[in-house]
Amino acid sequence: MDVSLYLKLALSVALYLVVFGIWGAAANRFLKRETDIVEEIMIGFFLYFCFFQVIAIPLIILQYAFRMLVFIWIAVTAVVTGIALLIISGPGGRRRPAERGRHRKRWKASEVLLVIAAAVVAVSAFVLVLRQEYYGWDTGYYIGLMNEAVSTDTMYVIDGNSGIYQTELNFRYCLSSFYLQFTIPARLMNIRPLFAAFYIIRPLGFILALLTAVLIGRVVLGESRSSLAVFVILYFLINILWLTSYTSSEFWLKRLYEAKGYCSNIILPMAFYIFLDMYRKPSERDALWGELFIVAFSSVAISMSSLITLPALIGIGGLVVFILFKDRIYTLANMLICMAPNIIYAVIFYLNTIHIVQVPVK
Amino acid sequence: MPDTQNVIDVILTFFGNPGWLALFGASGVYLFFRCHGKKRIAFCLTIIFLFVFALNDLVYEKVGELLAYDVFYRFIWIVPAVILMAVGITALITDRKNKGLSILLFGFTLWVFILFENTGMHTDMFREPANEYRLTDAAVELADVILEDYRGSGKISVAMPSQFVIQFRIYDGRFETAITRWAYLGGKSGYHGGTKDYEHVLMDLIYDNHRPTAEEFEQAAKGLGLDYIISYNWNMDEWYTEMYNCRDIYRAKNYTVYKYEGNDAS
Repeated sequence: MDVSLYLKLALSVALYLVVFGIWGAAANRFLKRETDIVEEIMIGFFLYFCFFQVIAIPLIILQYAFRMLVFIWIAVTAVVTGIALLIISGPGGRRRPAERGRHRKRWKASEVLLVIAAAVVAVSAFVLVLRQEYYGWDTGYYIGLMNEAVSTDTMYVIDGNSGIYQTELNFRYCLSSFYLQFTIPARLMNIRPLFAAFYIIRPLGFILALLTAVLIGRVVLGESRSSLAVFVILYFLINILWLTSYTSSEFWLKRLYEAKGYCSNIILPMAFYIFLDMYRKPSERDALWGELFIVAFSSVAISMSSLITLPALIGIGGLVVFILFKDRIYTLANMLICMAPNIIYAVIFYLNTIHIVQVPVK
Repeated sequence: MPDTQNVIDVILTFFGNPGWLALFGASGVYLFFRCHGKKRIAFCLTIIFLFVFALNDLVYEKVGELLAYDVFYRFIWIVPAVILMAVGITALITDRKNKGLSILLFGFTLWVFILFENTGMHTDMFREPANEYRLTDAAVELADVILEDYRGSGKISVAMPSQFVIQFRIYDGRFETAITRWAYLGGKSGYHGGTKDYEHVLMDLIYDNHRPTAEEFEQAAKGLGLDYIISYNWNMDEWYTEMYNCRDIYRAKNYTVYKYEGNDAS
């Protein structure tokens, strides 16, 4: 077993989380929202893919070499991270929530035991997830795509399943830059992309899914340590025990290196959380609509499965806000703005399926 | 999603064991009674709008027409069922003032989970992977043999049984599958320009459904730019070497790798 390889992969995951945290903290400063590291990492993750998609899509459509995307993205990441650090180290710093009750309370023995139990269950679940060996046609396509980016320096011009050059770009896949993002560390570390899929995409998805679940758990259960520990234990148990071919838990356990796993376990739950927080903190709706837009703008970049599911969720959640609160025009406008990116993508995708918009492979 | 006619079918298939649907419903009911005021109204409105705008037969039909019926179940992901079940059950357990009752409820929950579990729990889920690539040893072995043997500079076209196609493509981007996904799944050729028959010639040969003539094989092999063919050991060994201009380069436990000599590039 090559220990240095796994160390590099673990460091990549850690680096991603640090970058997400920095970008998220800066975004929340901009949105004037008081949050903690959990939400900062989540918003940073979505913001990261907003930027990546803006850079990647033109390069994909114009069929530039993959290495061009690598160079540009490294430069952009360095610049944006630098700016974000300046923002959060400036006057006011990171916007932290007001002193929470839990920081004043001492730990009880029962809480310590429950948190330890939750940690044991979490680590066990993590090991279990990493052991899974599912690979279907979709997996083969996506990792095949990553392999092509590394071996032929191309992006989406070769079919991921067969390795054959296509006659035109397939908009079912090429509108999402997700896999290209995680091919970048594979390229930089000179490792097989399948290791990036198994040991970067999957662990990162595990952590982000857990953070999203904790965000929702905190809204309903409050800040009680014992409640959150019990919640985490049950969250993992349900994910392991409730499996059909369609549940988010199936994708969580076996297919978290597929974008669909991110859609069902991260994107849609995060949007759900934002609406929950809107009902709970109406005074922060401005910032929350801003967060929702970041999630929406990045959603197709992460997973094409969110193309119509996320606008459906935004429509449903937005209508509830529309009915419950005043400023209805404001709510409607924000709803439509948040739905706009996916609607635009959906129109482009539809025009491609009826052969009006086509991009021939050079 | 097989054999679903309407949204109810989709929901029942999605949940699998109806016990999970009942558990989800029970969690929802508890959370409903737990919240008050505007939150309770929000809860009701969300459920109503979910069914009015997403989970109904009209949307099911539209999604089926425009995309595919198979993808409709993803609308159910709008509600994070796992998280809500966990939250609802946690609230039920931890809201109790009597800690003994909480512990009892937790134990009961675990029993219910085990009763309803539909993982089809099996040792495969827990076993140590065969290798660091998370692929079968046979796939890695055969792929390495071909990579070592190949002398050309471009893609390596390989015709193989379907269980290796995904693995080879995951393992190394230099492989090109002579038989594409769509041919395996019973559809048209993945290649453009009317080469449908070529893929099926090779597929029929590998699975011993039909033995092509030497000429038919050569046309298919040249048409697809074939470099190697992987076949089962029980399948007409001598035909490959005598009729199809192939050379036996490696014999594994259940499979043999043949190099097609009619392609000069490799």
